Amino acid sequence: MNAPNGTATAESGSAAANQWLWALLGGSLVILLSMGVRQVSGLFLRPVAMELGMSREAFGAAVALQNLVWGLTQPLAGMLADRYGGRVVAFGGGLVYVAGLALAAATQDGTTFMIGLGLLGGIGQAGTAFAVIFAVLGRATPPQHRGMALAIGSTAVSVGIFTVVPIASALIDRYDWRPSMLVLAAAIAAIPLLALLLREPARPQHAAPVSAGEALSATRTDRDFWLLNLGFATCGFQLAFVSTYIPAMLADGGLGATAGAAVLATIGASNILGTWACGVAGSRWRKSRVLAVVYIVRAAAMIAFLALPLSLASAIAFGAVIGLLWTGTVPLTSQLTADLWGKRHLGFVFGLVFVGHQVGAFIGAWAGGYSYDRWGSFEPVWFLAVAASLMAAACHLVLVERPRPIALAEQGA
Amino acid sequence: MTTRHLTLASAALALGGTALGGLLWSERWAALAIDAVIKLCG
Repeated sequence: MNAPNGTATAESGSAAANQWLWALLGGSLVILLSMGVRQVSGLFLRPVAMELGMSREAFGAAVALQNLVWGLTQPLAGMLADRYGGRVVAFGGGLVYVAGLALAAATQDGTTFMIGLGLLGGIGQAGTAFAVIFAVLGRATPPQHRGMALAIGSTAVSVGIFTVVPIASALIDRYDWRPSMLVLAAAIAAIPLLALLLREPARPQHAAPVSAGEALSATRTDRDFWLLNLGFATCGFQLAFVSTYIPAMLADGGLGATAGAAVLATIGASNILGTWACGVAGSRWRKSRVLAVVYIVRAAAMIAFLALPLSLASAIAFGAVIGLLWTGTVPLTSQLTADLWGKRHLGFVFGLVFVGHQVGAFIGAWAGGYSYDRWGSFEPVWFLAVAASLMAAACHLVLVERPRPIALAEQGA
Repeated sequence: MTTRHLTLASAALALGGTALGGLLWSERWAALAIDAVIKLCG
């Protein structure tokens, strides 16, 4: 009599045991597509500007708007994911993202293009990016596998960045920008389907109900939340500055227009291995200390790049080293957020930390142009990036890596 | 599923992604991949 029940229990136990693997697969594919497609905006600059009669500044404003909307809506998307599940948010985010790209592909005027790519694209990214997906993985994955699950998710992001760019570039070359953007929209259309795999374990009935407001006040008054924010803002600043201006800088240095593309491809390739290594390192050592090492090595790489005579070899070597440290900060910072303030509001709290990243990115993208226009050189911003890197390392070295009461309450529940 | 399996899976993803991306970055391969998909889709 007991056998059928026992079998049923074992089967449902095994289904629950495998549920997080499906969530890992679905979540990894969602962020691979979402972040991969996000990277290709720049490729559309020339054809779109020519056909719609937009200035480069106006196109740049659409991309800047996308980043800003993404950053500002991320805490809200994270909060919704914490409350209703990442599945619902990624599903909706995917639909908005598809609508945005389709609108941008079909439009005849610059304003609608900006609404499609900038506004709807930014909202779509907030629903399908790190904060939402990593919060799902953080909650769905057994504690002993959490570090590796985030390493896999982050590696998927870097694979997306590295593979979608050349495909989109070849598409635009052969089929013009409108069909190419529709192909990208079709790829993003897979996200709502993949989001269905993002199942999370039901919250325990007796779990202490902590509101997002309480999570906000627990982090707002915590010194280490601001240190983490400052560190992550540095990351955004450096990445936006290097990726935006290094092609122009190399071209100015007499290395030709292709050197920039070669360096960006090198960064993309070594970023895959670097993100994986950072994820693995974070599952073995203290994340705050691994992050401090990442920022110290970034500073050293920038100093060496500035000190050595500029050549294609030195630029590629810089790309290889900085690529190793490129987006590896994301799984480390996300895991650290979960360790310190718990998983219950991970989407919201990591969303708040991510606002810092996007503010840093906004400043990095702007500061390069400002410095060049004012002083005819990027060097002041390079020095600022080195100083910020050392400051970020110091922030992570003094950060106390200990679960806060809000995280402990969750564990005790 | 053990940590070892996951580590191997993530390493395979990293190496496979690097190899695939490396191929695609040479324009010829990206174009070939697109043509193959378009042929498959009729």
